[in-house]
Amino acid sequence: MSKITAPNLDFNTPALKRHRALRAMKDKMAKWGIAFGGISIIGAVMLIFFYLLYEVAPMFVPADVKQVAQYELPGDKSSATLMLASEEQAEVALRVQDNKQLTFFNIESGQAILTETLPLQGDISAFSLNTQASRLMAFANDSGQVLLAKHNYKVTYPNDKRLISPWLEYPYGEEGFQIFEDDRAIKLLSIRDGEEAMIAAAVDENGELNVIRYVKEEDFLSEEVVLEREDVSLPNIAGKINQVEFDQAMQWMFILADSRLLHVVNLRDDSLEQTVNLAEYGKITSLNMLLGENSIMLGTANGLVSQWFMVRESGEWRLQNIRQFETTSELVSGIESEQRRKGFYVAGKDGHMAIFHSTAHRTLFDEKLVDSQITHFTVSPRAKDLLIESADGKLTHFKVENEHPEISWASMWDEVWYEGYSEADYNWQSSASSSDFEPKYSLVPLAFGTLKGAFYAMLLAAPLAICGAIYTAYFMAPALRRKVKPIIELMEALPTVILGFLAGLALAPFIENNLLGIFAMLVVAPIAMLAFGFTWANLPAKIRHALPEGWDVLPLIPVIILSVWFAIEVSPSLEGVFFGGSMVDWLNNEMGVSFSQRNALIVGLAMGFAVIPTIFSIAEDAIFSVPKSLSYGSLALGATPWQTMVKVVLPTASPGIFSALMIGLGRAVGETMIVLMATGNTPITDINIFEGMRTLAANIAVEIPESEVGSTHYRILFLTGFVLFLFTFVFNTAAETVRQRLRTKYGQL
Amino acid sequence: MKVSFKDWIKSGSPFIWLNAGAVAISIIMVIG
Repeated sequence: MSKITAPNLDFNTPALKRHRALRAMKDKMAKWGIAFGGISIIGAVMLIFFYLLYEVAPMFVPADVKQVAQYELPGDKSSATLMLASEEQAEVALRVQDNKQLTFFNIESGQAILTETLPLQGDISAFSLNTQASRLMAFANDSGQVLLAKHNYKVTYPNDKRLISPWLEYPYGEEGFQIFEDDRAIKLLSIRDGEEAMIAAAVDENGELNVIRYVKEEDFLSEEVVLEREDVSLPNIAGKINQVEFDQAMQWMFILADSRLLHVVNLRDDSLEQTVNLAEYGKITSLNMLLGENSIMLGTANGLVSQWFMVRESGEWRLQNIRQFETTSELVSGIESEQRRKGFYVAGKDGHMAIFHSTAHRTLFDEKLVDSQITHFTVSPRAKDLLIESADGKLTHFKVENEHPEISWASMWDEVWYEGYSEADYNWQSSASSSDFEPKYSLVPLAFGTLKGAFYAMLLAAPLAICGAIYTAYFMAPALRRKVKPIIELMEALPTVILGFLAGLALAPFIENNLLGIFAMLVVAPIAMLAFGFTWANLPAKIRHALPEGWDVLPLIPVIILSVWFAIEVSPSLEGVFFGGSMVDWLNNEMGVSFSQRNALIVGLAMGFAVIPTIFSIAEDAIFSVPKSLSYGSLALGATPWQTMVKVVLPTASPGIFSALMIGLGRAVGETMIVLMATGNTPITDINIFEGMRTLAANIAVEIPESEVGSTHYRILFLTGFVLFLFTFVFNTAAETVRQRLRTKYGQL
Repeated sequence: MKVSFKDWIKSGSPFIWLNAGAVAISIIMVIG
C-alpha cells in the first residue's frame, strides 16, 4: 500500500506574500474608511445640533445695559422737564421743558442743537403725549388753550455723512383749541390721536373732567383735515382724578382716581362700564399704556407692575388683570413702553430700572442704574438706547442690548393670554402688517400639528405596509414577489411635491364631494376581499388550481377597484338618505364638527402614500429574513400558515418591523411638502380629522423666506428646527432601545 | 370539497386574503 504524502505547499511564495499584504492593506483601508464615514456622520449630526443651538441661544440671553455718557441737562436747567424723547437713530434727543422750550441735543455729548419755543400764551399748566411713536405732544395753558406739536427729524447726507436735523411741526395749527367752553385753566390733559378721530380729556382746577371728540374730515379738494367737535357727555366719576388714558380704538377711557380707583368708560355709549378698586394692589403710583394702546400698565408703591386689558366674556366687557411683574425696587415711579415691541421699562426707587416683556412674562433686567431718583426717562424707537434724567440734574445715556425679549419658556409652551383674546390660548402668529402687533410664538400648535399629521399618516400607512409586507414576504409566489416589491418601492421615487400638489388640488375636492364614499370604502373593500376569498375557497379545484399559489393578489385587484367604484357610486344616495344630501353640511350643522377642504384626512392619505414604501420595504426584508427552518418546523408540527406567521415569523421579525414603523414615523414627522400643500397650514390645536394643521417643518418652509436674518422670528424658526431634531432623535433612540430588547427576546428563536 | 365559513375563518385564510388585499391596494395606488 502506497503511503499518501501531503503535498508540499509553500504559503510564503512572493506572490502569496504580496497578495496577503494587499489584502491586509485593503482590510485596514476599509476599516479606516468605515470608521471615518461613521465618525463623519456623527460629526455632521453634532455640527447641525450645535449650529442650531448657536442660532437659538441668543434668544435666552438677558438684557444688558451699559452707560456710555453722562452730562448736565441741556437747555434751561432751572425749568422742569416734561418729557424726554429720542429719534430713530438715537443721535438726536429732545427735552421738553415747562418754560415752553423744546431743546434738541446730541445724545452722545449733550450739546444743544436747536431750541424751539412753543407759540402758546401764558404758562404750560398741563402736558400730554399721544404715544412716543407718534411724536405728537399736547400742551395746555392757564387759559384753557391746547396746542399740539410734533417733533420731526430730517435726514440728509452732506459730504456722505448722515446729518439729522430736528424740526417742530404743528399738525393742527399754531392757534390751538379750547376743551372747556370758557377759559378755565387745564390741570390735567390727555389726548389720543387716530386716523379718523382725535379725543382729548381735560381736568380743571376743581377736578371737573371734560372730554371732546374731534372727528377728522378731509376736504375733498384741498386735502386739508378739518376737525369737527363733538362733546362727550360723561357719567359721574368718583374720586379725585389722577390720570386719564384712552385705548387705541378710542372705545375705552380709563380714569385713575384717588390713586386706587380705575374707572372704565365706554365711549361708544358714554357709559361707565366698570370701576375696579385697586386697593388690594397698593397705591397706584404710575400708569401708562403698552404699545398698541390696548393694555394698561399699572405700577404700585410696593414695586409691582400689573398688566390689564379689556376682555369680552359672555357678551360683556370687563377689565381683566392679565399678569403681574415684580421689581426689586420698593416703588414704581414711571413706566414706558417700547415703541415696536411689547416690552416696557420700569423706573423704580433711587435709580433702579427694570426691563420686562409682557407677552413672554419675562424680566430681562432689574438693577440700579443711576445714583439718585429717576425723574424722567425715554427709550429710543429701536430700543437700543436709554436716556435717564435723575434728580441730581444729570442726563445719562445707556446702550441697551436686548435683542430677543419676546421669547421665554412660558411664551412657547404655556397658554398665553394675548391682547384681545377672551382667554389664555396656544397660538402661533409670527407677523402682521402693523408695528404694534403682539407676536404669538407658541410652539404647541406646531408640535401638535406635526404629531397629528404623522398620526393620521401612520394610521393609513402602518396597516397597509405591514400587511403588504407580510403577504409579499411570506405568502406571495417568488416570481410575483420579484415584480411587486420594486413596484411598491417605486412609490418612494415619487416627489412629495407632486404628491402634495395632487392631494391639495385633486384629492381634497374629490374627498369633499365624496366624503361618505371614502368612509364606505373602508367597509366595502375589506368585505369584498373576504367575500371573494371565501367564494374562491369554495370554487371547484380545477378553477382554483388554474391560478398558482401565491398569485391571489392579481384577482383581488379588480375586486378592490369594483368595490371602491361601488362605494363612491352609492355614496350620494346614502348621503341623501342619512345626511340630508351632504355629509359635510351634516357634520358642520348637526354635529358642530368644522370641516375644511384641506384637512388631516387628505394629509393622512397623501403622506401615508409616501410612508408606505419606507415601512413596506424594511418590514418585508425583516420578515423575509426569518430562517425558513423556523416556519417549516412550525408547519410540520401542524400549525396553519397563518398560525406560523403570527406565532413564529412575526415575533422573530418584530425588531425589524418595529424599526420600519419608527423610520416611517420619522419620515412622517419630518415631511414638509405634502403637509405644506395639502393642508390649509392653519396653526390650530384640534385633533379633528376634518381640520387642517401646520407642522414644524411646513412652518419653517413657509416662514423662513420672509423672516429677517438674526431677528427673533428667524431664530425661533431655528428653534422649531431644533425641536424637530429632538423629536426625531427621541423617536429613533426609543425605537433603537425597543428594537434591541425585541432582538434579545426573540433572538434565540 | 366545500369549505364551511367557520372552517375558513379557523384556517386563518381571511387574514391572508386581507394581507393580499393590502398588497393589491398598494399596487393600485402606484399604478393609479
